[in-house]
Amino acid sequence: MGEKERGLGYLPLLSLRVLLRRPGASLLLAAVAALGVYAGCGLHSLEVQQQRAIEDTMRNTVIHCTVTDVRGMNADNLNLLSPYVEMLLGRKAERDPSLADMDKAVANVNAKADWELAWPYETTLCRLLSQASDSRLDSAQISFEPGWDESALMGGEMVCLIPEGMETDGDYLDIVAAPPIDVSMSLRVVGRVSGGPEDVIYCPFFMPWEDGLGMAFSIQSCTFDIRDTARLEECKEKLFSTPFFVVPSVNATPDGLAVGVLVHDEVYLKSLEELRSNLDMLRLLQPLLLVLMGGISFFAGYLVNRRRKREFAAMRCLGMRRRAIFGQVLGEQLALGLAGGLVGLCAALATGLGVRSGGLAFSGAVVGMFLLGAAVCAGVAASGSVMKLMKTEE
Amino acid sequence: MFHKQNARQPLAAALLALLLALAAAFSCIGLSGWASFRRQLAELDSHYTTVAYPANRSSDDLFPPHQMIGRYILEDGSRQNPEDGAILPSSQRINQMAENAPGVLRWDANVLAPAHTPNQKGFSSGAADPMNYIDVYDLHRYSQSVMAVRCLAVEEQPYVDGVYVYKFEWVEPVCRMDAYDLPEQGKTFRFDTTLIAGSPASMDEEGEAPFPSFEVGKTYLMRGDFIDFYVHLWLRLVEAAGDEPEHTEPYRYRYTTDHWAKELEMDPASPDAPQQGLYFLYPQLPTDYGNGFPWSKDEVGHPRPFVPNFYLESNIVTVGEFKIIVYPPEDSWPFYAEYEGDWRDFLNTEEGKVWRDEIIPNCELNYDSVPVLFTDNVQGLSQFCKEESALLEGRFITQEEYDTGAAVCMVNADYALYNGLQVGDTLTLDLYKPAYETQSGIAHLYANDEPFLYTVCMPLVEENRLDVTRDYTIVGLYTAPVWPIDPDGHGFRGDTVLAPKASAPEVVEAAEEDKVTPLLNTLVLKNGSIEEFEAYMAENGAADRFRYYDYGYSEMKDSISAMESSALRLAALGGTAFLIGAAVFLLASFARMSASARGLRLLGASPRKVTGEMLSALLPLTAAGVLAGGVLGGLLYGRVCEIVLSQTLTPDWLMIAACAALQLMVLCAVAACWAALTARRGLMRRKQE
Amino acid sequence: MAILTADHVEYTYQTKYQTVYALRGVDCAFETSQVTAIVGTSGSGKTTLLSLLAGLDVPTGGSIRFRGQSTAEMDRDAWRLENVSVIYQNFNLFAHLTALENAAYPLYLQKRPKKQAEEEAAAQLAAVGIQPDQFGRYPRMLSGGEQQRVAIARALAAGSGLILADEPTGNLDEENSRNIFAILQDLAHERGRCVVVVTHDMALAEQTDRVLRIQDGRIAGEE
Repeated sequence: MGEKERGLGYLPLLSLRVLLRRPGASLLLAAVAALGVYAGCGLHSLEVQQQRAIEDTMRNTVIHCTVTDVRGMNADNLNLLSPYVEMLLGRKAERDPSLADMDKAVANVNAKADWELAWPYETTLCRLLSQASDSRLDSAQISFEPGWDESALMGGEMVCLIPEGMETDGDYLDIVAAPPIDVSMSLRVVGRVSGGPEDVIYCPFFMPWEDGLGMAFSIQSCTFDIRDTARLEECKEKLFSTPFFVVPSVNATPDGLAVGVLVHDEVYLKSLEELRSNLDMLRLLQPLLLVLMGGISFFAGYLVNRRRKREFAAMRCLGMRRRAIFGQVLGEQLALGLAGGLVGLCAALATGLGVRSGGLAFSGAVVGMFLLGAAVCAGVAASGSVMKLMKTEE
Repeated sequence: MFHKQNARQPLAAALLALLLALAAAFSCIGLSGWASFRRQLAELDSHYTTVAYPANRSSDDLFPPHQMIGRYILEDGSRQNPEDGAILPSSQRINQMAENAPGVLRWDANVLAPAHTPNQKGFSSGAADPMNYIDVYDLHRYSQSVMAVRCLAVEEQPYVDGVYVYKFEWVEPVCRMDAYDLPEQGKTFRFDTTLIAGSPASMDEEGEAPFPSFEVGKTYLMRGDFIDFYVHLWLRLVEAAGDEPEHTEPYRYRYTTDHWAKELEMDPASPDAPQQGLYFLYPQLPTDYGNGFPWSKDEVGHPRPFVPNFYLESNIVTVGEFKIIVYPPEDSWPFYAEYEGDWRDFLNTEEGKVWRDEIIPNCELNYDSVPVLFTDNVQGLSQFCKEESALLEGRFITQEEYDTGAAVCMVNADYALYNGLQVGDTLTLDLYKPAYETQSGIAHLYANDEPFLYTVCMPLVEENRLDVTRDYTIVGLYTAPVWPIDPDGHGFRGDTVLAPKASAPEVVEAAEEDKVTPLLNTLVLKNGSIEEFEAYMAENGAADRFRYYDYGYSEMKDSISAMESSALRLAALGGTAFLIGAAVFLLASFARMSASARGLRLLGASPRKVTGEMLSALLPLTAAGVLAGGVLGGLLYGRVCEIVLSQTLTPDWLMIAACAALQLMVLCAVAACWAALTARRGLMRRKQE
Repeated sequence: MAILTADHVEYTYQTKYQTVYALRGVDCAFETSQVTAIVGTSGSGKTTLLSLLAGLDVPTGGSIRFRGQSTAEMDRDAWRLENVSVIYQNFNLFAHLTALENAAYPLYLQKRPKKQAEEEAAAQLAAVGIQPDQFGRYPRMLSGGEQQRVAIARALAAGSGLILADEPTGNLDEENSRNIFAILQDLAHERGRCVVVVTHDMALAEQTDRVLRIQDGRIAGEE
């Protein structure tokens, strides 16, 4: 009888070597573990990916809104007064505090107003909030004078864009409004429009018409965008909480105060709902699949180790304690589980799933189930009647 | 033998079956998830419409190329830029090309046809906006009128032979739409070839020696398009001349064809200058040679107007090198008729009969009419794509309704209000053959100096009546811009009724028979394939010939592709889990059976018998496992669906059944092979070196 | 000197259908340097007795004492590890271990260093007549006799004083049986082990130092 050595001795290493001598069973168990880990990482990453995609979509999507009359019509033929546009731009906060930060919810406000001019002969003055306000400029080219750009339209300076072919005296254009306004003024020409209408002079929307004549004027069309669709509902609520903007309804009667806003969000909302329900589905399927995966792991561990009952009995006969057998089986399975898990992890990384803590936790649970299955089997084998086992025929 | 083994070791058998059941459930759920994700994707996809519109069209594109030869049009229909000689493929060629481009689902060849609405009033532009006259709405139908006029002057055009300028004064309107203002008594109007192409003039049979059609001092009934607008140019010029304007309301004027007057460069003070007041425009149809009739020619190449009875007066037309004499058929409706005394008396004469019984009723028929756009996809129409039109009430036409040709329609909210119609009401349509022309309208003068194309329905005439009256249920009200400005002629106007194409096969058939040039065409693309399509077109020398709209699909793209990959991965996971579960199952099963199989063989059983025995024990277990898995998967999945979709959506049992059946088949096949191999294993136990 | 004694050993167990009275009061003692054969018909309880002697379970009545200590009161696993080796009819070798590893297994269990364990195991294998070129073979590559020799070598390697053999020659031919028996006798007589052999081969049993006949769970006679 030799003296006892400290430590684990050679046995654990031997059991690991034995694992390699049983490639079929080992491979199968490792594959189960690999799949478990892959499934865990995969399912979790699917959720994360989808969540991110939805967030991106919400960030990138712009909801277009059209100002109409209260019945939802005449979007291109509005008789809207300019202060409404100012409200959208957040410039009329003193009138209604709820409109104070409207400009934070609303972006790309486009509006235009046409005025007949008596001079230059046969022309129209078109007040623009931006180039996009007038569809006639979609295909037109605007060449700005050095030092000027589109922002000139947003400013309050007395500037204008004139058609390519129009002749002027120097840098300025004199204009005369048709009756009843009957005022004249001189505008600095900051750019020329080619490929657009030939009888339209463009000027900034908020250009002071004349000293003291900052009066409201009528506009033909107005559109704007809601940028942050994560706050779409909030933004709509804010917009429609004022008496000035309402949801259009065919049978509404114009009260002279309110205008309608058509929010073109049906498709977006429907799609978002679809995407969200898909995400919910994924979230619910995930634990379900993982429980099933756990079950598969458990039975795989159990069934594969069930064939080793006699082996365990022989170990017992040799004087191995149940604990030791249990420990050895767990060790073996842990080794397989780790090896398989590593493969699963690599596969997850290689297929671009990404590995996240949530996924790892699930994977751990799957490997745990698989250990449990093996352990139960080892436990049953170790606790059962060794005497009976020793007599069984091969 | 093996059955007994199962019975003796029920736990092991049950565990095996349970393992298989779990694997099957996993894969069923994975596959169901995949299927439902695909369904959701399809649903999501159906929210979007990606369309391509032929862009940068000119009116030339709308006509058969042979008529344009010589006008920079080459034999094959392609167009040559006279400045740099660059050759552009023809529209027809481009359309053919586009049909074969990747990502194209179909052409939506919409059909525009007029219809009589016996119970509703027509919606003229004056009804839409009293301050506007828009020929896009009114031309040829609402503005058709019969007027009693007196000829005041006839002058020969000094520059062109056989062209006379006539000046008339109003006597009384005989027939005109209620929505129009009355012409003012005593006001004069005039027309000539400078103003109106194809001025009526009588001529001899060779087309020579034309003589004036009207005589000074005589009264006539005359039919044509009546337009009740004031010419704002004149308002201003009158003021400039220092006279008090006739109309003191400074903003009550209607826009129209001021450039004609501008071109005339006439002195407003001249008695010949166009007077402020009412125009009697377009004395005949088709309206002009550039756009009017080239789409319709008789066998010898003579222009033939599409609409019977709306023939030209005899006239000479020069198209390229050809000189064409146009004769109206003898039984054609007259364009004018001389009468004496009261026109009412004239109507009761033999000569006036055609006016009383045919012309005037026909005008009235046209007042109560609508253009109907028969389409397969309302949301694919450019105005909806551009969000210029939107649904205000009710709903869009559903795919099923497009497919089955349900008698449902969408109408403009303005039209509905004007006629007191609501969603759910019935609109009776008496259908006519599609007849329309595309022209760059006078409306562009208001909207844009670049001419834009639009379509105008031709007048309704008895000969074009299809004798089909159908009650359409209004399912939705839409809003449309007052000015349907679309540079490529894809816009439709606000009185248009939108209905499924399949609901009026007679109209579609008639369009095919008459080879009506399809208008408002849309190329429907697969969502997300715009780049691919444009790249293909560019490769074939037709870059930038289409405009694209996708309702913001591209913004959803990331989410959608994330969903696609989720679906695929779920399916892959399901399949892999099943394979591994099945492998464990088979391995364990055959491990249990192999010793007994050897024993049986030792007893002399044939391999075939042993295989059979093994399978007869294994297959029921397999089937039970897969079945249990399928049911488990289905139930669990159903529960998930119920929670998520908050509707009683039964799980796709068919899909699950198919999946389970497939699994069973695979398992059976593998088991059979495995069993056969096990049974045929050598009975000798050899030492293995 | 009796190192292992059985006093009124009874063993009953319950099966699905009946209560089995496997041993109904067995009294016997086993001495070192002696080979004892337990013979009896099938189902007479000889293997049960052997298993109880090996400490795989404790008797339901009476006691088994090793050097005076009852197996019921001791750490049987540790005791078995150090004092008992069992040899089976079907060898019960570890299929995935080589002959050498099988023989060295008890030493590994005792946490001996690999090299030392294998040297010792090799010596034992050589002692039972296994050629060194067979050390690396797996059990399935060996004949039955060779496998049983490896099993004996494993039993010897453990260094146990008590060697219990359950039909050790049941699966072997005559010549192999004789060889194995010779080894067992040698173990008792030359190395001073206490060897107990369960067998129904009377010819072999007669060669042992002592034969216990067991019948219906009782000792029916001793020769």
